[in-house]
Amino acid sequence: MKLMHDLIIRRLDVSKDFDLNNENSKSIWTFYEVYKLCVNFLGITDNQLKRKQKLILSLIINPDNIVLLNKLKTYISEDNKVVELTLNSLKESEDIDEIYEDFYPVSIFGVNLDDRGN
Amino acid sequence: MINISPIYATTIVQKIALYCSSYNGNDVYYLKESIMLMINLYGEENLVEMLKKDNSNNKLVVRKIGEDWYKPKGMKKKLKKISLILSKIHGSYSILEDKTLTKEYKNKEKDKYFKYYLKFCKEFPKIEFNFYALFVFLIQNSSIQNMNISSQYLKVLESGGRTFGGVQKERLRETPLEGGI
Repeated sequence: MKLMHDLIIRRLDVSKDFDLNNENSKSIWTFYEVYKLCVNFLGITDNQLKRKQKLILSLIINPDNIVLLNKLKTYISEDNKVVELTLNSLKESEDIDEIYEDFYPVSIFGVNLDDRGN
Repeated sequence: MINISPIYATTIVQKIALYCSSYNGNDVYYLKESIMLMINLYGEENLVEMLKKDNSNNKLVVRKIGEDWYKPKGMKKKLKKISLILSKIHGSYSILEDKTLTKEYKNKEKDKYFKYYLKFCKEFPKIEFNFYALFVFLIQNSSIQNMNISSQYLKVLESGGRTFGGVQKERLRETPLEGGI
């Protein structure tokens, strides 16, 4: 699966070019794309889906977690341990429902949250 | 395993490269393009049968896509809808004068195309996770899986970001060359 690895790594490279604090949230958008590819590549069950979705968003939104994202990149390129990483971090993802609601989907296109509905 | 001929394989990889190096909705547009091409190369009926028999790590999701393919809310209908949404987003983005989408630009109320763009983008969440599952399945079951994405295919990002493989943006000549071209 060289192509999928290549695709995920390239996509992460693009994401890294953007400031994680940027309100345009392009990095959120691109990381979220990476996430969707990863979970489908590695396989998921229905009940894990939403929880993983929240986790990855929490990783993305918090700039301190750039280290984790780099780890994610390493895991993918080395031996597909992303699932392991994701599952180990799930415990920390329980309190981010509101963040998820606020950031997805409108802000990913560079619209301020205040602009919604206009 | 579906064997894809080199000419189609190259086209698909180029589209995937564009997916990797775009954003603002254009990325998924190129992803959709590659999916559509691969569906036609697989053959729809053959693809549905393969989806139903999938045995990958993601088989729960993939088999469901196959079983529901022709249903009213199945993937076939969804692909049509997704195609329409992405074409609108891609079309409205293409005609934006300023693709950086800066704060100043957003405040220009006169730009109706930007308003269209935002309006279409709000339909984006209708694109479901299964869309990506289908993409991964199509890659995993074809000869294309062993290819690499060459740097030369990666597009220079229009609104910032890094250039790939040393490629630089270059303005086209405004005056024609001698000889009429």
